[in-house]
Amino acid sequence: MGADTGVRRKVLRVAVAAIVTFPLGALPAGAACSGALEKVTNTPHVAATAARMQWKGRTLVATDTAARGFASQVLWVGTNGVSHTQVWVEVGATDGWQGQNITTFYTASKDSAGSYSEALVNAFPVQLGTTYTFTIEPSPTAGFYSAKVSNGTLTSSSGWNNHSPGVRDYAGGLESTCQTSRIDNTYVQLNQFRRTDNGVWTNPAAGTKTNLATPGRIDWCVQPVTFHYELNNQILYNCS
Amino acid sequence: MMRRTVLSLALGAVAAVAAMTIGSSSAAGLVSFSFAVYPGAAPVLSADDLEGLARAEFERMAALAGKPPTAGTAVATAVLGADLKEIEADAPEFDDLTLAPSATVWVVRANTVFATNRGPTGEVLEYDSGYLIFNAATGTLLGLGMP
Repeated sequence: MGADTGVRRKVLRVAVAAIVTFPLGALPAGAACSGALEKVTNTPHVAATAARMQWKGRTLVATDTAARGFASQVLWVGTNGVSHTQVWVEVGATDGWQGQNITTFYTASKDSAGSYSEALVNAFPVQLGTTYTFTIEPSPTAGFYSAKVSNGTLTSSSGWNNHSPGVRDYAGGLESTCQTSRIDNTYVQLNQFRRTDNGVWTNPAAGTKTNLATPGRIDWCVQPVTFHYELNNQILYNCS
Repeated sequence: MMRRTVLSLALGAVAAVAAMTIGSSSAAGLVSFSFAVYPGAAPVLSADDLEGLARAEFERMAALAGKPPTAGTAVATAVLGADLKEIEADAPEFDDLTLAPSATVWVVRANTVFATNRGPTGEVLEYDSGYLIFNAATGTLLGLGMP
């Protein structure tokens, strides 16, 4: 698992903006997709080890599942004291899973050695209107981070090795591999980090919006604690 | 709450010795496969069916990386969920409802193109080796890792 094992290249996705005019589900064969990413990033003003967010399940429709595409609602948490864009654990709901046209929860990880992994989480289904809590936090086992999904009754706990405590920043939002996909307006009711000195969950003091999709939107509901986001939204864009 | 206790490495070493090789296959220019079943594992999914699923995933990942599928080797091992980390030490810890300790999975470790497009940056990550974890009853791809 050494960092020098094999070839690890990052290939930037080719941006193609012309496909956004096609209706949902009608992507022509052979047409290229470009990705969409809408997120709010929070940088805790105190030392932190964990983060969580609550969001309401909404329609997810990926138009490119056969090509390993997806439309997802995600919490990303940086570990090892570095940015969530470098070393992270993520948990979310996705339409599209490894080439299959299914909707499910999942978790993923990129550790400090550069290894990347994904895992299915199907302890219970993704349901419209249900409020879910995503939590990513260190476990008592050294080097292990838990990725949890709760529907208010059940909690599914998965996890990953090779992650050290220390959350410099975390983010929540939508990610899709195709801009013709659909993620209906969803409202993040709670967005928090856990302080290391007292273990208390705390609302963030600041947040930065990232908008990387023309048909998507992200906006504040109660700045900066809660926000909403969507991609090709077909319902009212609001905070409920 | 629902995580399982990880079996010791010593137990894994014993199991590795006792694993039974059940065959191999290859296709010109593609990934060649070998298969083994650990004691206690009972895969419903046949080796042929598993190979088809794995090859399809290899092709999808190569396409994602913008490359043709590369030649390589794959070692497929059927193992109980409780023993998964004996095969891949850094495999994810599944909740018991997603993967019961008594369920059998196929783990396919291969040196060919692995790629993913998930992540907080929107970039494609590409590697030259990795593993796939299939539910050995349903064929569902439960997880993957790279390298």
